[in-house]
Amino acid sequence: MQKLVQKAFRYLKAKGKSLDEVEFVVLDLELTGLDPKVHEIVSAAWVTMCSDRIQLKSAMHIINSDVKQLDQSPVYHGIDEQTLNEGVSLEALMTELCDALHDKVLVCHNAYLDWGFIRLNSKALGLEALPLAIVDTMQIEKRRQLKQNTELHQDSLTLANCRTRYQLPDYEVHNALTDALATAELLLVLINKIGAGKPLKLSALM
Amino acid sequence: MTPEVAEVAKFVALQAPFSQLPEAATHYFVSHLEIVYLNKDNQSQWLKSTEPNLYLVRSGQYDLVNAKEEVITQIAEGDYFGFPSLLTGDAIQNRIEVSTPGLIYILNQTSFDYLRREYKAFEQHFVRAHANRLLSSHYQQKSDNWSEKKISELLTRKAITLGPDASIRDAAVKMSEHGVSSIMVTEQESLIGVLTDRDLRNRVLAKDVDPNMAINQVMTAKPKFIFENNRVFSALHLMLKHNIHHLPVLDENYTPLGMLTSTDLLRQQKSDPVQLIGRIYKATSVQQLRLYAQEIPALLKSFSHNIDDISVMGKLLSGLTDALTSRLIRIYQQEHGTAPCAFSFICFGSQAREEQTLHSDQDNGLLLPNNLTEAQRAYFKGMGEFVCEQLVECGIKRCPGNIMASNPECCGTLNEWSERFFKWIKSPTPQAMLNCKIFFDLRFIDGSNELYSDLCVSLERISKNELFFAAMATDINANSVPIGLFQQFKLEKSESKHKYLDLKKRGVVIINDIARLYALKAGVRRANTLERLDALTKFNLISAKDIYNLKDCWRYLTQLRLKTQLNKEGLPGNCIDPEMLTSLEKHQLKEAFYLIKQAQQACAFKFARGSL
Amino acid sequence: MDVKILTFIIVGLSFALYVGIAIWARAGSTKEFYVAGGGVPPVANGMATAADWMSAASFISMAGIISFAGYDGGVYLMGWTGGYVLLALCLAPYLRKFGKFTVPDFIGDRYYSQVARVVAILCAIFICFTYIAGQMRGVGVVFSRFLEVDIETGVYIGMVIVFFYAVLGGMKGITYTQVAQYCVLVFAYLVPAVFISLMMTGHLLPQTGFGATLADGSGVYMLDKLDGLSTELGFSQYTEGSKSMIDVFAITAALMVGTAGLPHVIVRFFTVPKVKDTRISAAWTLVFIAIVYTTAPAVASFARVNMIDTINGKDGNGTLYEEAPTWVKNWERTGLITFEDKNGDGRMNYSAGKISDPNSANEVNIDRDIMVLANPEIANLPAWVIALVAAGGIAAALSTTAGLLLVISTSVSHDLLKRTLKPDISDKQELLAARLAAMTAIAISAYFGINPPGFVASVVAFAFGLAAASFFPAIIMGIFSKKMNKEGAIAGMITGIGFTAAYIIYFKFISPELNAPANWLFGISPEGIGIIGMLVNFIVAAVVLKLTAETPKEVQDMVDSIRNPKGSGEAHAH
Repeated sequence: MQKLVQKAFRYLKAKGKSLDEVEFVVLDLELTGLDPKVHEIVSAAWVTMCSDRIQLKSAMHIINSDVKQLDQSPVYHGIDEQTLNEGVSLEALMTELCDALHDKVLVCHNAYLDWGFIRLNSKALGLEALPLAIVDTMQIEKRRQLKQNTELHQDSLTLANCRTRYQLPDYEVHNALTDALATAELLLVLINKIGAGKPLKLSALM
Repeated sequence: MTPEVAEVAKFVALQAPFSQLPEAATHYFVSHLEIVYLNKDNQSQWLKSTEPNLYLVRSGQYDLVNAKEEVITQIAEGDYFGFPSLLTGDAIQNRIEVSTPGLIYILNQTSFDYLRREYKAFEQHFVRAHANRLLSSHYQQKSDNWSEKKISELLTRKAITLGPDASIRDAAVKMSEHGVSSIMVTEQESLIGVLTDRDLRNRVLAKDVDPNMAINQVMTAKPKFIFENNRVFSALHLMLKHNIHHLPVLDENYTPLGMLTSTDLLRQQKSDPVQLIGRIYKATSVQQLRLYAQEIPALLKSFSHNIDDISVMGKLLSGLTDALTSRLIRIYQQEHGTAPCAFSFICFGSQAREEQTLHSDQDNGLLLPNNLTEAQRAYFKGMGEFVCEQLVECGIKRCPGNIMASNPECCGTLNEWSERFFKWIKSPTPQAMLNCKIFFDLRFIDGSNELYSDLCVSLERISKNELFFAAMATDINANSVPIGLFQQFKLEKSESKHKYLDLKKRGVVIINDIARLYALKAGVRRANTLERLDALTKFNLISAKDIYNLKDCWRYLTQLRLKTQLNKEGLPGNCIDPEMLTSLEKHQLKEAFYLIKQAQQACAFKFARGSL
Repeated sequence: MDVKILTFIIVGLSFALYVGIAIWARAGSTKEFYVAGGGVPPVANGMATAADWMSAASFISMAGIISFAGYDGGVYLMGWTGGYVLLALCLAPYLRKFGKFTVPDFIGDRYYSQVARVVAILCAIFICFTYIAGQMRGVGVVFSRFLEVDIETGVYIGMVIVFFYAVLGGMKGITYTQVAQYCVLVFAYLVPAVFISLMMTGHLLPQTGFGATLADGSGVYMLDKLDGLSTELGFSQYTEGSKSMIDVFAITAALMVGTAGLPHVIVRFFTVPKVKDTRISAAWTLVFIAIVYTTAPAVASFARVNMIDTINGKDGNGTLYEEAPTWVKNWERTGLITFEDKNGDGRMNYSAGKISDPNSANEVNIDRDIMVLANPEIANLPAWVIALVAAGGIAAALSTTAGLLLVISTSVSHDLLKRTLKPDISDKQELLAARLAAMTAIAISAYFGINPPGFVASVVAFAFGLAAASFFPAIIMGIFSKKMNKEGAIAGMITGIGFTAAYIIYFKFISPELNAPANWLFGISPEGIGIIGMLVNFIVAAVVLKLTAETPKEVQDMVDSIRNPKGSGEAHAH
């Protein structure tokens, strides 16, 4: 109960913070499927961003060498057994990820999915993922589109289509890190579109 | 090691200079980048002097704007900006203006310096880019000066024209309809006369002429005119000289485009040297002229601080000399009676090229019609002597080579002049080449324009000789730029053991020579080097890019020449000691010399087939 | 000191001299010098022209051809000399008056036709190619001998040297470098000739020694001895040709008119500022060419006598291969002398016939291109003379190649690219295109230099024939007939080329077995057919002229004005 109150308090505090004060961790996970209970994390990649600047120096890309099934991934993400051997254990991956997320704002495109995997995996390993807040670029975009009364098609909210909408460059390579950067760039645009020059509070993104 | 983002690395690796650098350089660059979204709302945040960065455009379009709010260049994907201050440490003066927002990659000074230290090609790329930017900014500054503007920029209204058979009344109606003070009279698209308010007053009303008469009875026939791509300065000069208020503007095909009025010019800023020219044209005595001439040096000195482009200085000074000459001719005619036949006072060399400096001496001559009588010759001999002598009194030195109207050789008939030129063209000895370099830069000052045109036509015909062009090209190549085999400066030594580079002889002069050769080949009747080069864009002799480069080099060298002339003592005129230059300036100078060398070689190639 | 080192030193010194002069000329210090002296003196210009004119073919091969073919070889001597005279007297002065720098420009303007100009350009490029091919082989021979490598490697080395000299060195035909090259060349040619003449006949001048009695006390005339030797060995008599009179005439004439249009030499006439000086320098050129050309027959016969004497021995029974003089061994290494002991007596036996023919007694095959170079060795002259000849051969090749490469590179980059195909290229691109063209030319020529020389000979014949049948009539008619129009000229050129090319291709490439006097048209060999092609050209042009429109008035006036001796007064009268 106490934890719940704490969380609510953190949430409220976070909402009031201005964007310049917080650090974003823009994350993308590569997964073997969509169900956190069944499927596994293949790799995690993120870049950090603060004061409207993406820092490539902070880019991370960690591969889970413990992954058991590679049903869909090898074709889509270009990861094979050999790449896996360069990876670390799931525990090491999650430890690193949780450290990175601590007190930062987690940003994902379709955060519901990624966050589901993080929460479940961290719990299983006895770790605690405590981001300051979670921002979902897909949700932001969805709200914006609905507000403009645009009719939403099935895939009009994919990362690639959102980027095209804002004339961001097309990326051909697909891996977790590129997608993380792609999401970060999309976030930059969205912040600008929402703020239109005025300083924003974090709440505007949530 | 930081993992690099494949898409970023892929993009960067394709950009200069990384396409030529080892992978490690790209990796370092990519992993030290920051990415921002540059848009209208945050455009003022970037390019801060307090935080100099290198910016690389990933997407979007932007304008780089200088302190005078002029667009220096447009920037798009793959372009860099912000590097000049990283190289020089100078404060940033430009700002960025967003056309289309997009992503920008930012590299900070520390990382930039690291790459610069580690990879020579990286540094060279940016030093070169900076040099190019400086060269092109010289170009931009040029159009600031109003008198340097093209006439076409001042024209606001289309030409109001009437046929010669229209009645005076028609003309008056049309003028009031359009609210103009003058009308152009044209026949088959070409200008034959001008009718102004003042003509209606003085030639019609005052003389009680029937308004039903045709306008060709009262118009000013064969009016003075100017071409649209001439400079405003020339128009002003012409109007002051002939005391006219309306100047028809024609295009290259002599089709009337519109009328330039003195009010149009008044709207432009007034400047002192221009007023002085006006005063000179009104002077009535030699004493008065001398008095005015004394003002010239001081005036130019004060004026030189206000202008950026030295070519204006040359033009002003040539304009002043022209004015003095014209006035002296008028005074001579007042004293000795009107000229017994048509004549044309012409000038050569630097005065013709409008590159005169305070130290330039006289280069002029008289062009007379064929079949002169002895008495007529004597009259013009007197005129030549008078003008040259009085010019000396006005501070313009005698020509050591005696190229002056006072010299009987430079006071010849149309046939005599043609004969002279023909001799040089037929036997292009080195001495003849020297003469050609002076005499083929010629310009009309006063007298009969027709006579001068006849000479030009004649010269154009006899100079169409490829052996002559070959000899000129060979001659151009006998002069070499001061760059050695290993890209080092080749210095000359003065008597006082100063080491120096001669910017004029080994730079500007070569460009002048090259422009002259191409102009002769194309039949361009201009004397000014920049104008010649401009006119050459219409011909396929030399590519637009090479013309642009030559113009840039010419301006850069003249500018540098002026700058050092004002600053340095102890060196021969037009010379600089390269040790005084910053490494960036040295680099630019080498670049300029390199371009000249290339143009020189190309001349030898095109005209002399490489044989010397 | 051994020959190899001496060769390096002397060739190196000659190069240092050329480069030194080039630097001096480029330094700009010459400017005042030129002005003061009124330009290059006619004598110097004459030498420079002679250096341009005398190629490695003249220097190395001509004496070789005469040496082997005897009287028949003289056609080259006569043809090339005649070509020069024709050029100097009939073409250069008129082209100069016309104010055109190159022959294609002249043809293009005179026939007011872009097609005519392009045809002329392609012709010029083709002639230059075949010429350079000859040069490359010459340089290859020199290097292969003195660096003791095979001929192929020799050509590659020569290729690199020519590339550095002509392409990277700025591709400038600097007059004074050419003068130096002529001096080296003529010195290298004359020194051994004088030495050998003194040794063999006691005459100082090779030209008189040529017709004198031998100095061995036998009182036999040198040429008589040579005739005797030739007949003895199964060759035709040295002073009697094997070719028919008409064929000799045709070949000489074809060579003459073919060479008259050589583009790189014409330019030399235009770089002299004064017309009077042009005439004087043309006369000097003739003198300077004559010095070498009149020596050539003497060198040829001395070398022949010496060669036969040393190989077959004084008694004519053959020298033991084991005891063969060093020069034989040296040249064997280059592959230009081959020996096969067919009768197994261990002695070398040189006579007529091919070494591969089992019926022939000949056991030695000698490439004729080595005669001039081997001459001093055969005569046992000191090592420095041998080295000097190498330097001379290279000088001859370089001076001509530089000029020819310039023609090719300017024709490709300026005439074809800038003026015809892509007018908007920049100076930088134009210069680059020129370098690439020169490089390609060198590479292709090197290929021809390495591959069967018989092929090169065919192509050379082809080139001269084509030039004679196309270029020459167009120029002559352009100057001397103001009525000739473009239809006539183009039709003439095309039929001339077509006829000549068909004849040569038929006999040289399609049915080489029929290539014998009995099958020839009028008894004229493919080498000489160009002259018939020329006549065809004239006739076709005249016929077409009658059937087509008249030449525009202004072109006729222009032609009138070049031929009329009226001076400058006319030029600007109104």
